[in-house]
Amino acid sequence: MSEATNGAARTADVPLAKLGEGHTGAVSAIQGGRNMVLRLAELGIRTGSRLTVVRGKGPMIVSIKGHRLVIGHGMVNRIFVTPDAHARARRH
Amino acid sequence: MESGESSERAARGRVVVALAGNPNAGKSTIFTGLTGVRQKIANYPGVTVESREGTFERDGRTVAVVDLPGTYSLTAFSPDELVARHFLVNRQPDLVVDVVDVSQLERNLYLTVQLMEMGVPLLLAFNKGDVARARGQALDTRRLSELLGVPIVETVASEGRGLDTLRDDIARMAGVVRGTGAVVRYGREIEEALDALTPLAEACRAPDVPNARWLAVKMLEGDEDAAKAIAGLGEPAAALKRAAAGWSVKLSRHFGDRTEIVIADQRYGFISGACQESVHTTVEVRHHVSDRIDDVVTRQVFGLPIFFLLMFGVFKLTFALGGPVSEWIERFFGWLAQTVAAAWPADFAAPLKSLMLDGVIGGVGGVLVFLPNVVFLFAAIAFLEDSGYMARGAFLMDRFMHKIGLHGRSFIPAMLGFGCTVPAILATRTLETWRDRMTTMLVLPLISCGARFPIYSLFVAAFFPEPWRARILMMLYVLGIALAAGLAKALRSAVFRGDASLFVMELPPYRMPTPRAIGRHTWDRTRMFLRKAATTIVAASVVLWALTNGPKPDPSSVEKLTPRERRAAELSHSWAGRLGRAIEPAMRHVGFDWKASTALVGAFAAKELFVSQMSILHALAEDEASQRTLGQHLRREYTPLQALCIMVFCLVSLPCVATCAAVRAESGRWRWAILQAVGLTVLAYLVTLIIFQSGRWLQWGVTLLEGA
Repeated sequence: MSEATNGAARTADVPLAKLGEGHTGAVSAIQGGRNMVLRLAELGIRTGSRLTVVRGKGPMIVSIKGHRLVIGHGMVNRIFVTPDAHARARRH
Repeated sequence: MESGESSERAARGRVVVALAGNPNAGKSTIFTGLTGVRQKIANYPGVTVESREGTFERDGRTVAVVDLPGTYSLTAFSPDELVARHFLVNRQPDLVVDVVDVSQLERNLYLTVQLMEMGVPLLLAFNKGDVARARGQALDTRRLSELLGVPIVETVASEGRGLDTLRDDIARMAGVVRGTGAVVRYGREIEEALDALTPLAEACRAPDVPNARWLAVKMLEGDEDAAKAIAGLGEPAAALKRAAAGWSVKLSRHFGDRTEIVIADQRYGFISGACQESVHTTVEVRHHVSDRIDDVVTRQVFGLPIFFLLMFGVFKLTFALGGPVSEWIERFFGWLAQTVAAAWPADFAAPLKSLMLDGVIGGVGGVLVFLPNVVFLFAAIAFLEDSGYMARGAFLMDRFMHKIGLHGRSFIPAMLGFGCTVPAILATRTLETWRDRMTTMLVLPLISCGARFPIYSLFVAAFFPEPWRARILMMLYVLGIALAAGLAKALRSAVFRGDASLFVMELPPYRMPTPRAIGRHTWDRTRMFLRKAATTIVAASVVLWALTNGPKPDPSSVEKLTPRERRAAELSHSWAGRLGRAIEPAMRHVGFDWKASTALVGAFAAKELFVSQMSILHALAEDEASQRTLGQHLRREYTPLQALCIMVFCLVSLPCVATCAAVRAESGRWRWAILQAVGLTVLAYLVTLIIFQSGRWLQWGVTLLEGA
């Protein structure tokens, strides 16, 4: 099992890369190997975690529970989030 | 936990305490606070990394504190985590003090829970309570201590508060308390699996296994390091492995997710539960100073110019501050050589005198001259690291690094590489995947280290009038970086293929680094550089001196020559001269004569020796020793094009012995060190061949250049 989906991605979900600066969402799925999922988990990112994008489209800075993390280029397309409703409204 | 070794130590009145914790939790501050200046670097058998160790006295006992690398968990992803885990299991410290950043409580407790599972005797140091309070979090420490079943001491290490209580508790508990006995409960389904696996795990006793329940959990998680630890046990290990695999499939079907992720979730569940009962968040304070700084420096528009300005400042400062100190050191060695020469009894052991003056004092002096540059560069990097800026730099560089198949984190070793390649190679330990580490390690020698600078400064000053100097110097640094980028890209697409690797990194809040911390980090890295000077370079100087002084030609053949001609004949007859002449036919095509080829032999010992080799070679032939006269002398022997080729060849070719040894140690194989040395030399030959031949064709630099 090299690739697995942690939780099922729903239609409203977007990759973290598409969330947009200043927007908040809850992690719905992480598509990645064991190492990626566990590495994210120990830094506090797992299914259900709420995070806010602070900066970036390639590598991103996200804020989670008051601390900030850099998430690399390759990973931001493999983390899926459910954007907050009000954030989406503001976006459109 | 069985602790034969630890009780033996306790009986002798000396206890060993390990300090664990997340990066940025304040572990180093606590370590320094506990032990003060009584620190040393210790090497532990079986652990390839150096651990910092310090001691303090309490109630007539000596407490040795070992500072483990900062880690987020003990999952054994990165070499640092493996070191921490193996130390805890194999060395059986009498007490483990886990430094917890209370302002990031849940994340920090993830490591705590893993320590609890290992069954080590545990004490928690709850640090940064002031930050947590400022964020509106109120913590019931007593309640949390009950829930976890582990004692807690509160500290504010940055102000030195709570350290005395911590010392008392350490002295009271170390060697007395056995395991915590605290257990993490995983919920009915997983517990059922653990109940079935634990008896099987009991049969697998191995040095790397702290207890049966831990092994059962690890096997269920599919932990490769744990599987390796029991691999030699035969049937019992195989039985456990089969059973664990069976349960894992069953559990992942039940939960609809992978077992190790369910286990990680349950750990967080346990932590969340404990935190909900003991932490009260009143107000969320937003927009800290740190966030405001980030608003500016992480924006590409401002961030990149700020970043490059800072880097430029670092290099400018390094050379501005280092320059005068370098001159003092140069003068000191000049004085030393004169004093020794004057005090040497006439007609006493002339070869020994030559060995001392030309070999040892000349060789070591040549290296120490640019020690100030290295120290200032390391101090500037330590400042950027400790202030938290370096992590932002890594973020900014990730976009570029991604293009060459690496990620932002490889940028930090690359920065260190401008000082000295050896500490840079050790810094690759923070990279998680083997692919990233190897790629970074193999290209690091192409970053112009401090040792290349004397070569550049000698040739640039001698051959290139203004305005060429800055341009040529810049071009050399840029060429190195460009080759490193190209080679990294090539390696990632040909040898170390695979997905873009994981890059998650914490952005710690900005803080003002303490002079003490900067001093310590600077010293740690400088030490590696000095050790290289004291060992490799002294030895190399002696070997080189011997190579250039023996064997002597037949006395009758040089009888009729003048003393100067005789020296030249002797040198040309020596081993070094023969070696230089042997490779000259090939080296002629890239602009080298036999003397420069001979000096290359020395550059393998350490790059900076190229200069002292050239000076020895020419001094021996011409009786002229000082650098300035050496430059004048070189102008007569080489063209600017040759000078450029010599510099480029020294930049790219053959990393120094210390680098080879570091690559060998860090990669675990000679193969990589040798491959790197050969590969880079071939690359150097090709690059200089192109430069030299096209330069000749274009008639560039074949005569001395005129100044502007």
